[in-house]
Amino acid sequence: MTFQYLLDACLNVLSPANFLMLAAAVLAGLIMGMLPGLSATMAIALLTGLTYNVGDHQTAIIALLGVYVGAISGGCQSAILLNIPGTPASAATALDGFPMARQGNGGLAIFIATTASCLGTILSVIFVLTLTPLLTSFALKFASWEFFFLSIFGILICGTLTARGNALKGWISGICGLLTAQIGLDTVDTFARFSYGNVNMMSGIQLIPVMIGLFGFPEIVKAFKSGSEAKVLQLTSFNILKGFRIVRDNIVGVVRSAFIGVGVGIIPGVGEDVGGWLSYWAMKASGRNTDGFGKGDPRGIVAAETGNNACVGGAIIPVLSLAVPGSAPAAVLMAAFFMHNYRPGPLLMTESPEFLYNVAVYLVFASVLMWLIALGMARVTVRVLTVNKKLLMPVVFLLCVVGAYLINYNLFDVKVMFFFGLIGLAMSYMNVPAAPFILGVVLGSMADSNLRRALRLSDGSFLPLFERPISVAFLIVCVLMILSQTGLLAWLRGKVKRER
Amino acid sequence: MDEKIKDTVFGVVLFALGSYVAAESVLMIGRAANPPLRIRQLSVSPGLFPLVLGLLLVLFSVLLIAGSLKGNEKPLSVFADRLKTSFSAMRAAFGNNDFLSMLIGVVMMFVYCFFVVGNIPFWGGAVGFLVAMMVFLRFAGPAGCSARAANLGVIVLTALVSASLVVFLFEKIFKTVLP
Amino acid sequence: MKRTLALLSLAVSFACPAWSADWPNRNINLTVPYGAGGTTDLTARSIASGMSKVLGATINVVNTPGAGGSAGSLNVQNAKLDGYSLLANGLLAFTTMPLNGYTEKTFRDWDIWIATYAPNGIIVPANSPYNTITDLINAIKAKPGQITAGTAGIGSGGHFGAEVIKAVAGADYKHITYQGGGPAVTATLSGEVDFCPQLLAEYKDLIISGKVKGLASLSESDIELAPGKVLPSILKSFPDAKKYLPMGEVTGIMIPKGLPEDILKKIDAAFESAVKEKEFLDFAAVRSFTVMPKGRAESQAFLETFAGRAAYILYDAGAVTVDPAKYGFKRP
Repeated sequence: MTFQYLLDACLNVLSPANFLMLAAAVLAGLIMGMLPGLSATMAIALLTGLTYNVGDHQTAIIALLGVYVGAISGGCQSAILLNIPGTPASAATALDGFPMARQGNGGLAIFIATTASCLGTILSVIFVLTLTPLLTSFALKFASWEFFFLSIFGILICGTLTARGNALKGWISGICGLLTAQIGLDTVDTFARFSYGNVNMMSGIQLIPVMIGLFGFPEIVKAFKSGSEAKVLQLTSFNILKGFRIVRDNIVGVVRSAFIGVGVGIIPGVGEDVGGWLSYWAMKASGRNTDGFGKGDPRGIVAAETGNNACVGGAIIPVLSLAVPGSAPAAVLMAAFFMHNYRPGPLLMTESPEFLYNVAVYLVFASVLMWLIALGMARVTVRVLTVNKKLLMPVVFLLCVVGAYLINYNLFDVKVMFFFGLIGLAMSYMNVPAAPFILGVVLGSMADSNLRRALRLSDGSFLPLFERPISVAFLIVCVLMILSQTGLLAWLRGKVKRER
Repeated sequence: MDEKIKDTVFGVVLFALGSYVAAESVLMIGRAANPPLRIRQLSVSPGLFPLVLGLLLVLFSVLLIAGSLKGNEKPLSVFADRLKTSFSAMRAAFGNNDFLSMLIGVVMMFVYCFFVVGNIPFWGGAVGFLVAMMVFLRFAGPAGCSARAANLGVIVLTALVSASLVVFLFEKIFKTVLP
Repeated sequence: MKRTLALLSLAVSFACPAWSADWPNRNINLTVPYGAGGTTDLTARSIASGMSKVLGATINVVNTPGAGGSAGSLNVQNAKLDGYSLLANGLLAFTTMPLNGYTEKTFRDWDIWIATYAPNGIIVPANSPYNTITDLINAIKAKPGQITAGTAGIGSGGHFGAEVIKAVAGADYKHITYQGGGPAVTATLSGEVDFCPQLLAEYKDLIISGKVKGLASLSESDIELAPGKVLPSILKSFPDAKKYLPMGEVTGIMIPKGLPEDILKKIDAAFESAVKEKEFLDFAAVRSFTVMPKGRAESQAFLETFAGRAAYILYDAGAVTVDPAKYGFKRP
């Protein structure tokens, strides 16, 4: 029976109309992912409206999944070539991708990133088909305390990874990001925080303008300096076999990152943004010779891209089994599913059992097509960047402004982008990493509302936290990380040794 | 500026920011205790998390400053010295060509973001901005950049083509509205 | 020279913005002040697709969650009044915004089109000790202020359902808020809260498949979820609750008053057609919504009673301190 469904799904996708639609959707997704300011959520939302009237529901679903895969994967190209992530999910890729591009290995970096993305999605699909019930019950173990610790953990990791040597600066960046997320009407009591009566501030600070400002401005302003290279990067051609070999050598890391990505994707509310970072951290923590991470180690790219793409499959799992979205793009996708008369949720397997297999097959095809199209595009995009920086950067700035405006059609967001651009310039001058800031903005309201919810449930007591194994595990890891980074752990160990 | 000096100054700025946040959070906790919310318990007050974050910032900024002063004989005088050096460095920066070019560039971007966007139709504003920016970079900006690809004609052409491509992509294909 | 001219004219032709005065001549934004995938969001999307067919313009659904639905609503209230920013909201949360201090304007300052009615359904986690609504009410009476209810926020449909339960029990519950119906349901699945009084439509499938236990609905009659599976009305166990029923979310689309009449007439027509579409009716049937379309004048008349009831439920429960009479709400 299963085989029949899979076969039907394959035939569906391979019909000329659907195949073309898939290719077009993946291409559109890649472009939207690449442009700083257009995120995967926005891409799916835009397409949902466009495909609503397409008669054949299968075609529409194929298109939506294609855009999803494309958008999450496309962000890596601008992250690697410009150090401006196209979507927040690709922030971790920029860490090693951009140095690699600087060293002339931009093509190789994109190849590795794209291959890792493709593998990430495919592996997550395998997990979807085999492990859904198990993973769903894992996801349901996450309640308020776990969400709170997960956000703290994410910030700690990101800070540690991005601040070369001194994690303190990374954590400071993360805290500032968390603070930025607190601006506006709070989500638990609708109490206005830090908004000074300004209506625009009350709706809070949007993530995308902050991201564009923090990452984009330093790159753009660098073009104003004398002596900067006229070209953004020099190209050397690369060996495809070499790229494959790098991925093959790290296959364990790929599988591990996929697993982490699926896990993060499943947890409702956390998605691709966090998945990339956690996978990166796991890769670094378990690898040898990790000094090169952050300076152009391809393993970083492999981990980050596999991780964030695996979230695609992971985020779809709770949509299909519980009608609860695992991440923001998955939420829009779920709405689209409902619109096309599918009933995601526990009754899915009885009402339309073939849907699960359809989604799985479409995702696999989307990944493969993405790989082909992205690599084809890379030849063009990489060439565009040999353009004189003085001509390129103003255009990039223009795109940034457009991206900031299009989120809510609000001019205020453009001003926010400029303001955070100035902050980004200051941070880059002070060698403070921008990525933890972004993650802080993403996770800020999750951290705050979950902490307060947990405390409200327990009437202000921290005790229930200790009855929950996952929270305790998180707490221990966080404490260990803080101690080790601030040197206190070594100091404690030294003290213990002396006592003996 | 030397790395350590930057750290010290940055630490001071953060300290100020953290203190402000913490103070504002305390005020928030007070405000939340009044009607209509009547939140008396600290643990569920909306001011709790900002207060924690503010205090953490203060702590981390002190650690940062301490770390940057480590190893020096008389930390306090080094601290004061560094603040003085940074002020003079800031004044000196205005003499630096690079800094001036960056400043002018940023001002141009400021003008675009705050005055042009939304008031002048997108295509016109975009072309104007792009041409101005590229001309500035080519002529008034940093010396030593290769003149080959940056004569006026190429600049205008690039500006026109890219602005049009952007408009085409977003308005016709993605069906969104530009300011 | 020629090439430059050619390129120039090409560029100019692309740049012609749409300046004509006919509405709609570009995409319309429909703000949903909750997360995607929730009841309001799905209803809004369904109506939007029907309306865009008639209007000939794409309607983009923009999710702006936060603050119990007020963040997105205030955005639309403050937006430029050009007919391109619509709001889709549940009328419970919407009409009680002034009482919560978000704004001085009331529903009378908006043009509203009502589409559906969705009753509240009381559910508990699958492994909960409560098997009937009486068990739950007794537990609340025995431990006032301790039994936790997960809702989508202050002023949400779930909040009202919880207030009805509180009125029936005569004792308070502990209110735990989430960022939307979805997270509240997830919390119930994971057992973090004791019960969830959100809208039945959000978890109908979960009740049928047994992942949560359905105790009662706040509609006046029993509801058949699936052949053989009936969710009793709360009236079966507590007939005194009749004065609070029917309680549930009424959803519609709205725009601040002040648009020219011809644009409003176009919206009237599009809306009327959208709520008659087969796809919309099927969508409503699957989720146990009652479709009760109302035009602008009818909606205002309906809301006078509905909003009055909602406002006084909140006021009597002490959830708001502002007297509804200040805004002209009448006690039903």
